[in-house]
Amino acid sequence: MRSDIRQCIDKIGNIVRGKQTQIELSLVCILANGHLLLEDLPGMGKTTLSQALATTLGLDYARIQFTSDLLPADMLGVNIFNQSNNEFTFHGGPIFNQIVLADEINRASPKTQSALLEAMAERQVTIDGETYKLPDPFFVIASQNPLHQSGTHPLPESQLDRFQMQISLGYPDFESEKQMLLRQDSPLVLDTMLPIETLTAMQQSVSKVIMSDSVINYLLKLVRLTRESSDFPNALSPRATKAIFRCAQAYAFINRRDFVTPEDIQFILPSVTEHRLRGQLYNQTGSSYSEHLLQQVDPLAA
Amino acid sequence: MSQQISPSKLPALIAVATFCYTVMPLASPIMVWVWVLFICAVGIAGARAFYDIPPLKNMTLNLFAVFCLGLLVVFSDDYGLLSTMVNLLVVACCLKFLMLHKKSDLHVILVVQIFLIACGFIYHQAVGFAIYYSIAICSLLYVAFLLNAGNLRSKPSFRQTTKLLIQTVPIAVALFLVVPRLPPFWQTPTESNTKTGLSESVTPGDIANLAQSADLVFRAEFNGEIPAPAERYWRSIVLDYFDGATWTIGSEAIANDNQPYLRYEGNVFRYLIMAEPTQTKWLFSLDIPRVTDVMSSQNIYMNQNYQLHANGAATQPSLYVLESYPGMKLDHYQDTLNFEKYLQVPNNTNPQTNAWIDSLNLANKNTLEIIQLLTSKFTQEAFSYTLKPPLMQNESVDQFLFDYQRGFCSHYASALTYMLRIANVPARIVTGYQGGQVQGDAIITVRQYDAHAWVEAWDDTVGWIRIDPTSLVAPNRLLSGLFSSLDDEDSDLIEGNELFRNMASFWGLKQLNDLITIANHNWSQMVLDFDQDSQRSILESLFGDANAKNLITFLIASFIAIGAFITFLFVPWRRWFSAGEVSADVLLVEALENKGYDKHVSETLKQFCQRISPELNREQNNLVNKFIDAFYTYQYSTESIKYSQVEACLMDSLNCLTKRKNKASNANS
Repeated sequence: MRSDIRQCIDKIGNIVRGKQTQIELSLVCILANGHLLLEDLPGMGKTTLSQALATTLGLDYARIQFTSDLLPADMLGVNIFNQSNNEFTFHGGPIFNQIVLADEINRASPKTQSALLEAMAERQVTIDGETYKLPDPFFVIASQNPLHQSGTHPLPESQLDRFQMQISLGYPDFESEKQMLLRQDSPLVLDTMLPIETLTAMQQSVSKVIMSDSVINYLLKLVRLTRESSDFPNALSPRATKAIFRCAQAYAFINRRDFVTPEDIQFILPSVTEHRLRGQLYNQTGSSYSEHLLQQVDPLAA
Repeated sequence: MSQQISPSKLPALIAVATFCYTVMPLASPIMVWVWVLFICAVGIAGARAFYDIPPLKNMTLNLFAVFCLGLLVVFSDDYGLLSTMVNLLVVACCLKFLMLHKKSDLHVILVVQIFLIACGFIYHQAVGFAIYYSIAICSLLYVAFLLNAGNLRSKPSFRQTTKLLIQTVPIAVALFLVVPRLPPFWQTPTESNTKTGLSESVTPGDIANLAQSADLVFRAEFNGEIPAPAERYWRSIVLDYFDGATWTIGSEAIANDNQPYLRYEGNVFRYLIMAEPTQTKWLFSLDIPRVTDVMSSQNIYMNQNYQLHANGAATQPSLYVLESYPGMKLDHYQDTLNFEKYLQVPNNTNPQTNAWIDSLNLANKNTLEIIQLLTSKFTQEAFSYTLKPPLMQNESVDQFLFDYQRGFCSHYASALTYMLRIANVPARIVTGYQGGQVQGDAIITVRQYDAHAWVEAWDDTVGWIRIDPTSLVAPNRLLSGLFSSLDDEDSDLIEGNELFRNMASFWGLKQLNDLITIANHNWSQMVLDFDQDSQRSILESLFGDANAKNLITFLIASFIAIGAFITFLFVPWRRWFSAGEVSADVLLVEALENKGYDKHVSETLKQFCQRISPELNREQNNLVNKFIDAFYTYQYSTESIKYSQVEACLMDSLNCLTKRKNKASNANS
């Protein structure tokens, strides 16, 4: 693994303990220039992780706490009449930041959710006919509570599809939780590890990582299986295919390779596809659709 | 149980289960205390799969083994050598289970279990048991597979086991047909507690005991017509000496060598008899038999009483083909017959009978009239047929005829023979079987409860006349078998009677029963009795002649065929002939799968090789990893390396992987 990324992961790992894989995946997601959805129970470290990511990358950071009465304007910003020069001036909302943490996104009304999702897809917002560019890079890290919790509006499939990855943190293991308690008083200071120029350069290199024909065949076989088999309630969209492609590239990149192997696909596939395959059917069965998908395709025969 | 069984304990657990499965059919020879030991050992070995139970100390175990050995020796007299040996095997296996802590212990257990299965075939030869035991073999092989292949998931490995077993079937069949049949190197011990059928003496009442057994006696497979129920008198033993209580074989009929030629004529039944071991030399036939073919080891003769017999006691099943001519008179050998013998009665017994016969004034009557007169006593007075006759110790004929008037077929036969002799008509008792159950449309199955006794009286013009006094009293006994002639109380005596009657009444089961009987029949004919002669007949049908040259050709050809088959299975065809077309990773995976490591569908080459790397030695791991690097570079990256380089790595690792298996292919490439 690249030493700078390694370092990054280690630093963040000091704050969110015992979650190396999830941290690695979230960096992959950012390198692949995608938005990230964190789904977990309250208090598992979702906010901490996203804050840590923002600090490490040295990006502007804003947090929006989503509630059921949050309006799109609260997030996007409003035109306010300026009496001194008799015209409306635009006051950008918290969305005009490089990293936006949309906390508890599924508590907001569908209207607000879709306003955020437009911003995610277009990387711009339109207010009163004026279009405003969002900063670059622009990442949304949304966190959501599991759908069975009260007061939630589940994200529709179309909006889930816009998140490149979904990660769950899960409970820490015994040792990590112990460390967490022991190191409580030591200050959690993070420096900027990957300045914005480095990040942009890395994103450039990621898009140059090669995916050979046989790996692409494997990827397509996986995707097509979700469309042909009746085991999957939601098939994968071409957008998902692109997401898998980019994430695999990013993962190969942080592992110092300029080519993608089937292992890369297998590593990132669950977090890229699980939320898309599952849709709103959360918590009906404990089984994992992406695991099931992987079990059925032989990477060798590709 | 929610606990997961760790893969390392799986072989032991399956071995325990198989052990139970194998031992069950051996229930009869196993001693009670061995059962106790068995249950303990199985319980402990089974529990070990779930809990940590330390193995017994060697010292304890050895002392225990000595103790068990002592017990075996003590009981060996009661149980006989064979049973003791079976018990010894079971005890050994149990003790090994108790001390189970190494892989090699399990290997020993596997071998002992295979011996146990072989022992099972001494007790059971039916086709059902062949299937039963092949399941056990399959499971044992699976255990062996698990032991040798390491900790693999069970499912793929079980597939491999079945594959292996199916591959061995043609080889086994070929060897079965081809390998010369040698006589056994030692005599197989026979079971001492076999129920014997008819004995060479009859005390009235004996046959009633036989009637309580449903054991198979013989099967007759007819080619063509089947005799009517009333004609099915299967002659076995002829008794002519009466001592007042028991009928026995007196001086035996003259030797068979210079037997005069009989002119066989009239209606004929052709059939094959498969007789279970009788422990006597006497066999079964309808009158008058002519032996046309004998397929068992002992030759079969007919003596002057029209009985069939072998030279010695039949301890093995006998198989012979007969023709019977029921229309012929039994009047041969007149010149050599010793009529004195058939008029013998003990002195000063049964005065009441003697007086009664004197009073009949039989002097001027001919034989048939005498028979008529004497048997009319049975029909005119209140005689009845029962399996539970009262005990008649002294003057048994008197008591039967005048006091009790109840009895079984042997009572009637005994009394009538006695009366005939007193009336100066030569007479004798014939025992054998009467009737039998028709199965399919050509097979008659005769069981012990079909045992019967009847009378033959001599008339100068007709020869021996068959008289069945029982049929006069209980005509149903003749026409539709034993059950119809019994009342409820009597029929309770017959073992499994309820079941039999239900079976007979329930059509479907009866069909099934027939099917099983026929399957067993064919099994024993085609497989159990496959011997040198059968081999020779195959040879003859192939080459026309069974001389030594053809035999050797046949043997060599078969071995070549088996060899070719094995080669076909084990030659890595894809590797040799299509290395260029099939992707290199597929070839490596194939080679590894042949070694018993199965790749899960979802595994990539690297993951698969990493998973099994603990099973490979260091050299193999190095080469495999080198190949994987080369292959990944070639297949996935932009870096251009030649395919020949990948191929070279592939060949290195393949050769290294198969080095121990076939050195030859190593040399070739």
